[in-house]
This record gives sequence, structure tokens and C-alpha cells, in this order.
Amino acid sequence: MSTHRIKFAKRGSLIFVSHLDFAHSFTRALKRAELPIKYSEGFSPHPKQVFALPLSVGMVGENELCDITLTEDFTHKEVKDRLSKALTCDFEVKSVTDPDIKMGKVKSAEYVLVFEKLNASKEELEKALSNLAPVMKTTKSGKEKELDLNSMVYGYAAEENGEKTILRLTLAASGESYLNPDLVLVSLRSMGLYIPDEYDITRTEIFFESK
Amino acid sequence: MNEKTKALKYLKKVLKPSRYTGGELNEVIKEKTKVDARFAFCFPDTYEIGMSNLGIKILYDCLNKEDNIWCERSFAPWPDMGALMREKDISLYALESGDALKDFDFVGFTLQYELSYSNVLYMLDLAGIPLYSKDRDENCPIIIGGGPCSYNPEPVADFFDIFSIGEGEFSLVETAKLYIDYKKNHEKFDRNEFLRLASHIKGNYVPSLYDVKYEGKDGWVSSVTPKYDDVPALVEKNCLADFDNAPFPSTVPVPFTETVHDRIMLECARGCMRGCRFCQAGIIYRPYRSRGFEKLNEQAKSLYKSSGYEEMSLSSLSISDYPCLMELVDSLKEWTDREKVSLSLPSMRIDSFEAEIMKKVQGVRKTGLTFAPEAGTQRLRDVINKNLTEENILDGCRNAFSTGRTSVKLYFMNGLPTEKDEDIEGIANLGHKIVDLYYQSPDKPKGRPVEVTISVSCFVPKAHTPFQWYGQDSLEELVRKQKLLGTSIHSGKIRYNWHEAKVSRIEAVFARGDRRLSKALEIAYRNGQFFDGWDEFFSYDRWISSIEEAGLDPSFYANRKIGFDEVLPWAHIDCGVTQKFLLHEAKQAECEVTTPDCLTKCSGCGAAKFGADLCTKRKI
Repeated sequence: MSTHRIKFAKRGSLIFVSHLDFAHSFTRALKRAELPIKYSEGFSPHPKQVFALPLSVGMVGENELCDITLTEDFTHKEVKDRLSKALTCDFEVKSVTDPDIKMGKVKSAEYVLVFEKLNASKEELEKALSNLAPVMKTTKSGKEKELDLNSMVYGYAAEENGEKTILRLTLAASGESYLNPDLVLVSLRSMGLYIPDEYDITRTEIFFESK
Repeated sequence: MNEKTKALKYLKKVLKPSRYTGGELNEVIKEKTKVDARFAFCFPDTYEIGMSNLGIKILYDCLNKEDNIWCERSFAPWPDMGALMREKDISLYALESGDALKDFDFVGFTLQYELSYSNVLYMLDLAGIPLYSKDRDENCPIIIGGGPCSYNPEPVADFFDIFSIGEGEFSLVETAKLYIDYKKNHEKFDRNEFLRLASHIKGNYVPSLYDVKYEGKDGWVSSVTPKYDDVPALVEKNCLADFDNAPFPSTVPVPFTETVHDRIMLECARGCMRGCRFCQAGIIYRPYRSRGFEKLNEQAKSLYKSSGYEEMSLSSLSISDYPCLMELVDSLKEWTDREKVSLSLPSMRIDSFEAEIMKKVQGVRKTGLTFAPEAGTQRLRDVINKNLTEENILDGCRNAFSTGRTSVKLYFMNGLPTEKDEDIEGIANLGHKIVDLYYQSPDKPKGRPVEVTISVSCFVPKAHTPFQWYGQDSLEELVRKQKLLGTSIHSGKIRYNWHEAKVSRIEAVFARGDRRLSKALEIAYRNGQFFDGWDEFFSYDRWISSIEEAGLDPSFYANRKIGFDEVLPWAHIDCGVTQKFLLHEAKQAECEVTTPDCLTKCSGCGAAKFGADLCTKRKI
């Protein structure tokens, strides 16, 4: 038996594949790679593969993480070599290592959003990001609830780069507290800033709680 | 920037965007400057449905095996995507290259059901290709149709340049090669001249090369004749006699998103030996041919290796008739259990032999038990030549209950020729007997209720069947029969569902339609009709008004009993089975006499001319 943490990128056509479909495709890729995934021993066996975070449809992931358990011993290099060949070129295995911290300890994630040049300047955007307006959210019970975003924003930066405006956000991404970057944009719009809904978004990094 | 690149920018806004990206594992990418013919294979329904079709995968593989041909895929965009493409001026494209369909050499449509016809027009329109064959010029692709519905191609004849009748594994490649040669040897591409040459290839039907005459006060078809001597008067289908060695893909594109049949499909056999008299597939795919189990096992291994699928289905019109089923299951099980691949066997009949197989197969996942008695009484089952007795069904259920199953699904049809109310009540009675049988079975699963599902569709008379002359019941009569069955069912353990009769009526109009319906189809499409297979888009009233606007009468097509001496609109299409045989079968039906299956006795249907082993050596 061996366990592996796979760091991979998901780009191109793959960004439109939903998380569940991707997880399913990933299992098939392991089978094609002849990497014998371990199955849980329940009534309905499922493969032992755990993703750090689901990735929204339309989002590029540059450093996504998935832990797998195999029934046999494989070196990390073998896993990397085999898995690299088993999926399309939109999937890149960046590294395979030991899973040192549990996936449950994921704390936050960094996102990079690229817009066609925005009206607002770097200073205006950063000022708004430093104190976001609360967003109304419908809870599961159907009630409207005011959600304060500021405690979930761990870092931000705006940048003007030629014809582009770039936002760099580090947002909470743990089990207890998770902030979707879309909500940040909703908040910015409610503050009177013009933010178009066509933009490229990449999750660049996933961070864990410090050991 | 090609069409796909344009579309990618907006894909976040549409449902299930991965339908439109391509880029799946095992898709075929070629250098477009290095091929001589580009073929876009279209399925006129959603990606999930199209990608479940085995035919596409086989033909995609056949065409792409040729170095100088590149075959790509395209599907009908869901209405949200269709609207977006119109708004952003994106032309329908093929998934692999992302290039516009209108720049291809061939655009092929597989016609699997009549209700997809409106989507053919929708796709042509989105692609910016003129709908009518006569309006296309030298720069337009050749539009080619195939699949089961092309056995009566007339209702869509005006929209297609060529129909490929029968099994297209070789003839599509041959047609593409003819095109390549023609282009090499001619300065200018003369569309009409090419189509004329293409009509010489076996199985190719070029509708523009035929004159159709109508007569009588209702204007039925009186003749369909070729305009030129070198064009065949009778177009014989292609049939691969040596099915064992017929091409079969060793890899298939694997969708990222879940499709309807998300599994490996092994084609164990083609055709059916049984000859149910309403069934078009049972006639047009004749003669029955099967593939050796060792070969199937090899194909299965290769498909598993290249796809990683965790499910495999053994496909055939009637898998119970496959001669080495036990050997096949045994050889597959040698590795599928270890690899956690589950096997499914659709269309089983479950006699005692099969119960044994089912016990082996159910190791991984349990599937329900399905029967298709089609009719509720033995008399009517004899009329339709469904050689299945009540005893067969009850035995099958008994076996299934003893292996721990609790649910049985039964398929019926109403509106069959000669049907009476007692036949409808017979459906309910059979359901009640199965419920009783369950509670009388000593070895039934403990503490679980039985669940019997009765699913009833409406009879649609189809071209090239013994029932092709018979009219469909009127809409009112079909609805009355559906209600009668509802009131005849008294058990709470029986779940009853039925098909929308209005949908079946439109299907019937087109199934026996002639060339004049092309106009009605165009009107319906212009009035907003598409995605007919989806309840939310099907509008009966719009269909009827469009057919009437074209100056046609829906009941002329759907309900009329066609005279045995009339010229049928599809008489120039030869599926191998002779009109003489079909007529004899129709008479046998009226006398309630059954016809044995092909293995028991050859009934001389005419398909023996294709030279399959069953017909020549009496073995399968």
C-alpha cells in the first residue's frame, strides 16, 4: 500500500468539467494508468481519493491537490510518470509527494482574476477590498442573512497591467469558513464599482494551517 | 480565431459547458493541412445522448483510420447555447478543431429517431448551411444522412445530398475517397456531377436524382423513379456479411461529463432473429450476425485499457440469442471482477439458463428485470409474432425473485393492429399475476414488497415492417385505451406509466411520410420547433398547424391504412427483406399465425442474399 499527494494543474477544456465529473474522470485515469486505487470497504465501495477543494466550473487550477491511496507500493516518481500519460494535455501532474498535512487542514486559497482594464484605479479597488460591504445571502432555511466578508479576506492586491486589471485575492477556504471569489465581486458591485462578468480566473495556490 | 475559441469566452454562462469544448481523452486530432477530406459527424441531439451512441464511435474510428480523412464530432447545442451562439455570431463548430461546420467537406447526420429531424434543421441553421439541398453551392459541405431512419428518408429528402443506407463502415470511407479523387482530377468542383458519381456507390441514395409522382384524390405516391439510367432504381443497403471481422474501435473518446450510457459497449451481435411484426430494427438489420466471444473479450480488454470505464454492457438487439453468452461472461469475469468493472446485460429474457448467468453477473451491481411482452394476451402476442408466452414471463419472474430481485419492468404497446379492449385488460391481468406470484414464492426476499412497473408506448407503424400498411389509432382512441388500462389496474404494487400519445402521433406522421413533409418540417422549425424528444420543447399544436400550413393532412400519414397494392414512399429503398415477405407476414398476422425465428427455420425473407453464416451455413 502507498499514499501519494498529487499536485496538478487543470486547464483548457478541463476547466469546464464540474468537480464531480472531474473526480470521476480522475478515477478512470488512475485505472488507465494501471495504478490500483484502494476502495473503501463499505456497502458501496468508492475509491480512496481526496481532493483538497472542489474547483468551480470555469476556473483554472494551477496547484490543485489530491491524495490517493493505492493497494500496492509505488514510488512517487512512478505515480507521476504513469498518471501524466493517462489524461489529456489539459491536465498536468506537477509533483507527487507524501501527504504531510491532512486535507482537512486547508485554510485558504489564492485566486487571480484578470479583467479587461477596469474603470476603477488600483487605489480605488484596494480601498474597496480593505472594507467590503456585506452581502445578502439566502440561508438553507430560506432566510436572507447579511454576510460579512472582511473576516474571510486574508489578503488582496490590485494591479494595472497594460490593458488588463488584475486582482489577487487570498480567501478563506476551510470547512468552517469558505469565501467564493464571486461574492467578493458581488460586494464590489454593490459598492458602485463596475465589474464585468467576463473575466479569467485562476486558483493559484492552496494554503494549509501552519503545523 | 476559430469558432470554439470565440465560444470559450462565454461558456461559463451556459449549462453543462463541457458539452462544447471537446478535448476529451482519445479524441482524434489531425493536422488539418495534411488531410484531404474533413468530415463532421453530427448527432442531432445533446452531447450526452449522442456520445452514448455506438454507431458514432464505430464510424468515427473507420473514417479516422484513413490518414487523409479527419472525422470530428458535433452535437445539437442546448437552447441556451444556441441562443448565445446567435447573439455572439458563433457558427456551429466541430468539437475537435473548433472549426465551423460550413468549412467542412462532409457534414453527416445520424438519424436515430424521427423526433430528431427538427434538430437537423436547427444544426444546419446554426452552422449557416442552407437547409435545402437545392440551395447549396460548390462551397457548401456535402450533407449526408444515415442510421435507421434513413430507411424511409423521404420526409427529410429535400435537406440531404446523400443518404447512406445500411452499414456505413466501408461506404462512407469510399464516398469520401471518391470526393478526394474527384477534387484531385477536376479544376472545379461540380456538385451535381459529384453527387451523380456518388450515387453509383452501393448504398448511396441521392434524393435529388429521383422524380416522385403523386396521384389519386389524396395524392399518394405513385412512383419514385431515377432521372438517369445510371442511377439505381432500387438502392440496396450495405450489409457486412463477415461481421466477426467488421471494424470495431479499440479506443473511444471518453467524455468528462456523465452521458446516458457511460460505459463500454461491446457489440456482440447485429440484427435479430425473431421478426416481431411491429419492429423496424428486427427487419432492417437482418440477417442476424454475431461475433466470436474470444474476439469480444479482446475488444473489451483494449477498450477498458484505453478508457478506464467501470461498467460494460453487452449490446445486441436480443442478447439472449447470442450463442456463446456463457463463454463470453466467463471469459470477461476472469478479469472484470478484479478490475471492479461491472457487467450489464440489457434485453435479457431470463429463462433458467440465463438465471445462472445473472447470478454470475450480479456480483458487482444488481440490475432490474425487464420484459417486453408488448401485448397483454396470447392472441395479440401471436399477431405481433412476439414468441413469448405468459409461462415464459412467469418463469422468468420466478427465477428472478428466487435470486433476490424484487422489481420487474414490463414494456407494452397499445394501438397494435387488431387490438381489442380485452387485450388492454390482459396487460393489467398479467401485472396482477406477477404480483400474486411474488407473494406465493417461498424463496422471495424477506420483508420487501414487490414492484411491478408497466410501461406502455403507442404503436407507431414503421417503414419496412409487416405492419407498415396499418394506420395508427386516432389520438382519442389511444388516450381512451391508456385510461382503460389505468382503471383496469387494481394493485398498489403496480406502477403504470405511458407515453404521450401526441408525441407518438407526430412520430407516425414522419415514420410513413413522403417527400412533401420536408416543407412541413421546415415550417415547424421556422415556427420554433426543435428538441422534439424533450417534453419542454415539443408542441403538438405547433406541429399540427405546421403540417396543415404545408397543405398536408396529419391523419393521411398517421392513421390511413395503406392499400397493399399501393407504391410505398420508401419502395425504392431495399433493406434486403422483400415486400413479398412483409406482405405474407401481414397476412399471417391477420390470421394470428406466428413465424418461427431464423435459427429454427428460414422463412425466406430475402436477407439471405447478403450471405451471412446464419443464412448460408445455418449456423451463428
